[in-house]
Formats: sequence, C-alpha cells, structure tokens
Amino acid sequence: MIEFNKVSYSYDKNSGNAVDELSMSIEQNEWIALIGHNGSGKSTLAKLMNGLLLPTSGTISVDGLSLSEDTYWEIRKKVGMVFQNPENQFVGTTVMDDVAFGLENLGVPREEMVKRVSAALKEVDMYSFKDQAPNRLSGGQKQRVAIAGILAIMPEVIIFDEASTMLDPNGKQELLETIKGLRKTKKMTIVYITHDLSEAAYADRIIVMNEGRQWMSGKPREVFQYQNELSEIGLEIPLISSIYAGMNEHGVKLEKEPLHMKELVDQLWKLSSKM
Amino acid sequence: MNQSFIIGQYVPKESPVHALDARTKLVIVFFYVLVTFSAETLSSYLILFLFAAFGAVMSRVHPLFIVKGLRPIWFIIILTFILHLFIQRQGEVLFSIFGYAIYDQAVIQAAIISSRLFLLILMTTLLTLTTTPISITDAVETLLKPLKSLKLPIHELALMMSISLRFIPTLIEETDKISKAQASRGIDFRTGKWRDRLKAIFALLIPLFISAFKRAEDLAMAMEARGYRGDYGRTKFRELKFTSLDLIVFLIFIIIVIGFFYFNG
Amino acid sequence: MEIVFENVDFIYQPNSPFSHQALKDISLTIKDGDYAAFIGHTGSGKSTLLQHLNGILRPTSGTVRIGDFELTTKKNNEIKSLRRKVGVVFQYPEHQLFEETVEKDILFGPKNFGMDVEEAKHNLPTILEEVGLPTDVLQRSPFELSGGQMRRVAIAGVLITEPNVLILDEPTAGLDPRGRKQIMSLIDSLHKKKRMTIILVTHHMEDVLRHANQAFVLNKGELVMQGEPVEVFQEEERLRKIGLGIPEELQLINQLKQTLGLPITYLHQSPSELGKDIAKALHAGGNR
Repeated sequence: MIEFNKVSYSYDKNSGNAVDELSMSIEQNEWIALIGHNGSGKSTLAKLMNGLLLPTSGTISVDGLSLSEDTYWEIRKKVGMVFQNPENQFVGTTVMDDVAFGLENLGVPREEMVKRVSAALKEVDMYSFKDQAPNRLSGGQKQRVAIAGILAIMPEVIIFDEASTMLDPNGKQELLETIKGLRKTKKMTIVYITHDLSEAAYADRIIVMNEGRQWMSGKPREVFQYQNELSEIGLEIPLISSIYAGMNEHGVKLEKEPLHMKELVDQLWKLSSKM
Repeated sequence: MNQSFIIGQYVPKESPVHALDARTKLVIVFFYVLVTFSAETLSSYLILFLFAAFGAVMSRVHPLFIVKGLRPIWFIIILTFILHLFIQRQGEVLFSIFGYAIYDQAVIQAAIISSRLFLLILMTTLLTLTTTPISITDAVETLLKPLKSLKLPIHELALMMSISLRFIPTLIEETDKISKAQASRGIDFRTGKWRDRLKAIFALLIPLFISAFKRAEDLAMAMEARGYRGDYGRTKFRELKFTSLDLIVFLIFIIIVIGFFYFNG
Repeated sequence: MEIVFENVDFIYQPNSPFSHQALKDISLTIKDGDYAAFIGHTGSGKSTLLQHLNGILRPTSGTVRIGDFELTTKKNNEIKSLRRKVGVVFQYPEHQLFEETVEKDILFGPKNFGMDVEEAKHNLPTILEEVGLPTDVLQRSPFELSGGQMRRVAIAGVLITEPNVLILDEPTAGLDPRGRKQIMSLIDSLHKKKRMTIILVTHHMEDVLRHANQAFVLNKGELVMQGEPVEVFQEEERLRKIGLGIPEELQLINQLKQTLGLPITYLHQSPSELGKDIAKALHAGGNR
C-alpha cells in the first residue's frame, strides 16, 4: 500500500535529516503502530505519506502511485490524516459542516454529501451531535468527528498522527475503540503514531523509529521483548509486559507473551490449573 | 462580560423569522436602512416602526429580552436626543432651560434622529438574533458572488469569516487561561503604574498571538490534508433555501416601501 | 503551609440564567509537606478548586486558609504575597512564555513580586540544573526551544520565586515516556529535598499511586473520596461508577486474587518486582 524507498527528509539544510534513508513498506489492510520518542522522526514520516511534505531524496509510492507535486492531490484522497490537536483541525462551525469540509473540497454533489456525512457520523457514533458546535464537545469526541470527516472521503489509509496524545484516558479509550470498530466493518490500512506502547499493542505490527531511521519492526509481542533496548531510546514497554518480564525471570513461562491484562490472567489461570 | 447585552447574539427559536432565508433578511435590512435615512414625516416613521415591531413579534424572541438587551443603547439614543435638542437653532423658541433656548424644530429633529438610530439598531439586532453568524456569512458570500468576476476574493473572505466565528470561543478560553497563568506569576492587570499595566497587556497578548499563529499553522495543514485548494472545483454543503415564505415577506416589504414613499411625500 | 477548605461553595455567574455551581460544600485539609493528588474528570471541579489556592477565584461561601492567608468572599489585599508562596504550573505552561530570552522570562515572576532580582539571577544556574536545562539556554529565545524544554523554562519561572506550595495541573500532558519520567522525578525531588507541599492534578492513576500520599476524588463539584491512594483505589467499583479507573497494577492484583486466589499486597513494588512476587505466589500454589 505504502512504499518508501531510501527516503530522506530534512527541514533545513544545516540540520540533520529528520528522516534518514528510510526504506519500508506497509501492506494493505495492515494496522501499523509507528512509535518513537518525541523528535524521532515519526511525525515527519506521517506527513511524507500524504504529500504534506515531499522527500528531499528517495521515492514514495501510495497504492502504486508515485508521490510528486503532480500526484499529491490524488494521494490525499487515498490517505486521510487525524492530527494531534483536536481543536486545531476542526474547520466547520458545527459537527456536520466539519465532516462535509473534505467532500466540499473534492466537489462532491450536495445530495451525495448529505448521505455520506450522515453515514460517516453514524460510523463513529457521533450522529446525535450533528448540529453541535465544537466548543461543546470533548477532545475524544472531536477526534471522532475528525475520523468521520476522513471516512466520508472513503480513503484507503488513515494516519493517526499522535491523535491520542492530548486526550484524557477516557478520550484515548474512545479513540481506540472507534478504530477497532472500523477495522471490523471495513478494509482499511491504519498507521497509528504514538509514544504510548500500550496503545501500540493493538496493532498488527510495530515499527520503531529512532534518529530518523527504522530501528526495529515486528509484531508487538516480539518488539516488547526488548525492554532494555527500548528504554535506552526513551520508550517504555507496557506495564503488563514488564510485569511478565519479572515473572519470566523467576521461572513462570507462558505460551505467548501477554499483551494486556486479560491475556496474562487467562494464561496464568490455565497454567495454575495444570499445576 | 455583560450577559444581557444582546447585539450580535443569536437566539435559537423556531419562528417564521428564523426560518427565512438569510439572504432575504440581509437584503431587507439593507434596504430598510437606506429607506430609514430618507424618512422625514411622522407617518413614514410610523410605517417603519410597525414593520420592525411586526418582525420582532414574529421572531418569538421575548419583547422584554429585546428591550432589556438594548439597554446600553438607550443611553446613546437619549444622549443623541438631548444633544440635538441643544445644537439645533431653527424655528421658534419653545421654552428655555438653564438659559438655553429650545427651538421647536430642534425637538422635531432630535426626535427624528433618535428614532432613526433606534430603528436601525432594532432591525440589525433582529437580524442577528434570528440568524446564525454562519448563515449570514453564507448569505454575504452568495450575494457578493457576482463580484468574483472582478477577481475579488469573495470565497476566501467568507471562509475567513466563518473560521473566525468558529475560533472565537477557543480564543476567549485561551485568553482566560493565559491571564490566569500570568496573574499567578504576580502580574496585576487592574492596578499599578501605566508602564506596568502596559507590560501586563504584553504578557497576555504575546502568548495569545503565538498560540493563534500556531493554531493557524495547524489548521492550514489540516485543511490541506483534507484536500482544500481554494475555490477550485468546490461544492457547498450548507445551502440557503428561498421558499414561498421569503417571497411573501418580500412582497410585504415592497408594499411597506411603497406606502412609506407615499406618506413621506 | 497547611491548606484548609471549610464548607467552600463556588458558583460561576451567580444570580444569572447561566449560573453554575462548580464546587459544593468542600471541606478538606492538606498538611504542610504533603504530596496531594486530585483526581476527577473534566468538569469535576478540579481546576476551579485549584484556582482557589492562590486567590484567582474566591469562594462564593465558606473559607479557604493557606497558612496565615485567609480567602473568603471578601477581597484580600495580600493576594500578591499569597501568589508568591503558592506557585502554579498550569496545563501546557509553555503557552505562557512571552519574553525575548529565557532569562527574562524566568525572572518575570520575581520582578512582579518585587523580589531582589539580582539574587534571583544568582539562583538561575541552580534552578536550571534542577529542571534539567543547560545554562546556555538563558540568552536564547524560549521559542527556539523544543516543547519539552519550553515546559521546563515555564516550571523554572515558577520555582524561582521559592514557593512553599507547588500546584501542578497535568504537568506531563503530551510528553513522551522519558519526558514524563523526568518531570515526575523533578517533582519528587522538590517534595523530598525542598520539602515543598505538592498538589498534583492528573489523569494518570499510576502516578497518584506511586508518588502521592494523599488522594482527593472530585465528582460534579463534590469531594467524594479522600485518603491514602492505596486505600482510595481499593474502592474500584465506586470509582468506576464516576468514570474513573484504578492503576493497572492494582487491577491485576485484584484480578489475580479473584480468579486464582493469589494473595499479593501492593507495597510500591516496581513492575518487575511485582512480577517476581506473582511468580513466588504461583509457585506457592495459591490459596485454592
């Protein structure tokens, strides 16, 4: 779906590369978590994926289309993006107006727009808020509206650029549940950027960024085994994983590395019934 | 802020006036204002007043709410009346007060000018009370559309207006937040030497501007990511509907205007 | 300085159709040298309560006492000296920076409070070291710095007035794990070494459990629970009902107790120590 071939990007000539000779590919329908500490290049990477930035060198292709100044409008139809600050991406004066914004830009006829706006709002469970002004919504609700605005355009990829960073725990939960719900009903590639590894645990694959390069890539269970190495580059594995690491050192071996509490408790229950 | 001050506020209600197309209301208010400036006789004022009162009643906004809301304006209207009473020196002397002569023409002039002011404010307030700011923006955009051929940036102007409306509550909240933060650092916005107070204002304005710029930057990027490329090939979601109600109101207004010029001589 | 709330009510825009009671009959005591945490979600009254601590807001009825200062419905003329003693780090404090240089911005508070600016200047290197900034940032513009560094400058600007009480509203919001850890350990050292009274508002229940010695739970303007964090978090059900969670490690301990009958007590273990304890309990065979 998305291919990077030796991509570099620097914000200005005097500073180093924010993304450095990066090659990688993201498959269709994959849920990727892109992790790294602040300043590791992960947000730059996201902005390269839909042509908000163009690479200094190297090539990027999305769905077979090579990214350039001539194609980025096409690519933005395929790649939607939810940003960090819920307040600063809300363009419309009401929820409905905001969801319609992308459709207006693409010149979709009005009757079609009305249908798509309602459908998208129902998908993120915000339909009952359709006439509300943004200042009446919580952060989590605003992010759901942002997702609806993207769903209405029917893209193939949605990038979440630290979309949970400014949310409270309930808002984070709302966002993750919405994404999980979408994955059940639609085929869609998700790129989820975060520095919170317990959120990354839900992804199919984690790509760890450090100093503008891909530092590691693998399934969450594989990545979380590198507790010490990750903490050296400023990341922290989920609490459950560190607890399991402690158990592991003291002779408790489970079939698979637990990613969250339920997996740990269930496996311990199985294990203890054998003992 | 005084919450009972109603100019520019929108009061959501279901009324025929609310249901009117914003363009209808805008055009009528525009011509009403023009006509009011040419009003000279008492009966023509009466006609104008009746039309405004009719609109106010039909809007279903409580009359007391309007009267109270316009309270700060009454002061200006009365001041205008009194000023004209003393400045005008035509006609016959009616009586004198504190050694100042009051002329009969002055009384008439003062009454005319202050009723004119009152009617103008009443009508425009009625417009904003019954029309959301965003509909007014839409109406302005469609009404000014012909000017696009003169290369005037009508779409951009309307977008700017609607985004400003959207961010007013955000900026108010931000101002409150920053002023509290600076107050906690020992700043006093209310008392002290003027130099200190100027400095205090800077401590508020600079962070506010920086954050507004940051927001603008974020917003521009979010808009671009959602395929915004100016007016190019754009359709509109919000629509203004011109219904038979609008037609009827226009007809009534035309009759009013004809009646007005008949009585205005 | 001891902080006491006595039957404090606060109403926004009283006697108007928009009136809204944000605090209802709050009575509480935070002792000198405490590390208190306030929990509750958006709209629970947390920030309204905090703003009473340095006189940004005054109670609609009731009394707030902070050391010798007393805040009632009447205007208090000594508010400035109160604000010097009670430092507040607001949420996203980097948004309050405005001076041309970091040095000027940090010294903004001391100037306003009429402190000896030369002496404050003398203390700059120590403060910078505390918050983890190199001294060469002093002459730079705060806006050239990274977000995390700007936040440290803002915190330094509060610490320089040597407050006795430090209030922090979500000081780690938006930071990555490393940044979070650094800020939390900075607060710890201010509490332990400088014996400051700390008042923390946070959504991170783990931080409350690990760092605070008093927890206050607010819901819809009322103080619904208070006590030592471990005790408060015992009442998982009650907290869930008002939309709050408990720290993950306590959740795990509870679940292991219920499903496997493992007796594990939380004694501020690190995650890997907790894993070790669970392993031991498992080997002992549980209580089934």
